[in-house]
Amino acid sequence: MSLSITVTPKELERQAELCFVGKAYKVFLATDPEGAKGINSTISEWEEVELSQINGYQPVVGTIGNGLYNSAAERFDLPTINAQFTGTGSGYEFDTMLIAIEDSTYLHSLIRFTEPVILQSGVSKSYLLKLVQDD
Amino acid sequence: MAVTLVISPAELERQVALAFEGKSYEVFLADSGVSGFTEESTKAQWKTVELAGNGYETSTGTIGTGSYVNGKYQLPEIEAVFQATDIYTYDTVILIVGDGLSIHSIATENPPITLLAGQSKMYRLNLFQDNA
Repeated sequence: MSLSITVTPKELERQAELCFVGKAYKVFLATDPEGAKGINSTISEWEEVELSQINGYQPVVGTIGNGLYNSAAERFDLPTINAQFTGTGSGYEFDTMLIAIEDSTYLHSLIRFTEPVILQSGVSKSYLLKLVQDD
Repeated sequence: MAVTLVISPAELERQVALAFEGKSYEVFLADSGVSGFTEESTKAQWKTVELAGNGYETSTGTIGTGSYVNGKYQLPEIEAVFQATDIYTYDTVILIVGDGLSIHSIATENPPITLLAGQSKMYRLNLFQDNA
């Protein structure tokens, strides 16, 4: 006797639409060399160590668009967020990238780099962030 | 250089609050027979092959508030009990969440289940959100 369970593509779409589509996002950079903050720190606490908006640094903001069901991967893919950062002047460095969605108190996620990333003047770095909903 | 990505517990909670908590649910049994219905069929289509009579009743309720446990956000278990006052047979258990047109999930029994008069069957459905 067997019981096989399938979560439907439409359910993944339902979840993605409620949780992501049309929501504002912010991708920002911070320095936290001592690891004083963590995944349970609030966005406000992380913004205390966000880079100053000088030497080319600007957070990347936008709105999450409509996605599509990816039948090959059996998941619902939201549009890729291209977070591009460019250094000017004397450049800047960071060790953490953070993603906030809508007006939440807490982060969606964070990405830590084991070594600081340095963006000198004229240098750009793009991070392609893929949000997916799967079962 | 290594990169570590972590999705926050609060993000899982945010998703659960939007997608599940406080939403109505419905668990029903169907005899798919020769319908050809699949996980891509609509709620309305599946409703055309839902069981009726002989003590069968749809199980309904509202999804409660969950909690973060062991790396995932776990919702309260849904306990769907079906009783028979006379014989019925089914091969599919369907879960609907909210009032949309689509279905959350289907569970296929192979071989089909037959409940005789006086028998009952319980399904415990666990919904959770994780970052896997």
